[in-house]
Amino acid sequence: MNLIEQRIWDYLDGTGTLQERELTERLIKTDPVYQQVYQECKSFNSLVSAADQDEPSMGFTRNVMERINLEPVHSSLKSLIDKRIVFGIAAFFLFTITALLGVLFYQIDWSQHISSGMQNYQIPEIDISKYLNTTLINIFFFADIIAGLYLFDGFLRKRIRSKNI
Amino acid sequence: MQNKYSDTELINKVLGGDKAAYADLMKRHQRFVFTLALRFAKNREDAEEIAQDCFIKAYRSLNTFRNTSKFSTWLYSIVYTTAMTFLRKKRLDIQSIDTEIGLLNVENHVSDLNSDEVEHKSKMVFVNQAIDQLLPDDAAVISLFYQGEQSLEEIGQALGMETNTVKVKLHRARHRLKEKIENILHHEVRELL
Repeated sequence: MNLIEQRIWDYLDGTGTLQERELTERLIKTDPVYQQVYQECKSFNSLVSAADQDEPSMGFTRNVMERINLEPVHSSLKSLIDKRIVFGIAAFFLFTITALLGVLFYQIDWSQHISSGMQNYQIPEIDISKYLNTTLINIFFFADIIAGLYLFDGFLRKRIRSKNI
Repeated sequence: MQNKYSDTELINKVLGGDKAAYADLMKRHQRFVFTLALRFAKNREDAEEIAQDCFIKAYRSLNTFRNTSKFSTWLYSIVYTTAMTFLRKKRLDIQSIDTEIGLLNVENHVSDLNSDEVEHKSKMVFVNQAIDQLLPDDAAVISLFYQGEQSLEEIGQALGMETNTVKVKLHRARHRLKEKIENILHHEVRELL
């Protein structure tokens, strides 16, 4: 495509800077070559703009609506979630936690020495090496890999689905 | 009859649970969605399938539509992705239709028309045939710009391209379309353009 045509298209599409458009406008008025290309481009525009749009089949709307009717009805989240319910749940948990803490603090004997009850307590020793062996480690890693692949697959599917929408 | 509701009002009605409002929204856009699908699919059956899928997808994701762009722009982006997926699945040959076949069809059309309206109708037939002969991407850009009345920015949004890329594509598509029309109309086009 030559430069003149490019400039004329930019002028007709309203792209390019104001100076460029002014320059093209001046050239259209003065230069016969520009004038001719301008007329050609304008005719092309009106010709293509007048091209008809195609009509789908008569049953198009009905077919789509039949499928739409199988879809769940849209309802906005606002109407689904009542704020009073949210506040009610929050209040319930707040009350329960406060009550439990209250009872707990009430039952503590504050006069007792802090470390007196802890002296005789021994942490039971657990020999982990008894349970650990190569087979168990292999099973652990294998399960990890499977879980990882499963999550990765889910992630890819989600991405493809969102791209397709 | 022109619907009194705007696109946004109809969308809100649909989101409020009124499925019938979606039929109105669809009727408003179905012609261009079908035309655009036809630019990619090149046959009516496939285009209708693409257009139907597109409206179903749009319905499912309607609650994700934000009013940051026009509904039509958002809808055309769905047409584009749906058509691309469809083409990939069907592995359609996206090469241009052989010019000779095009010419043969054009001649058949012309022979059917012989009144005053021939000029307008035949022009439209030629233009549509020339657009059909373009590569899907070129045909889509031309259709979106001229029939869809979308700006370069909006076409960019719909096709997932930069505005400058769309501008270059539109220039090239026009050039190719002009060539196609010239091929179809031979000498007549020189008087027309």
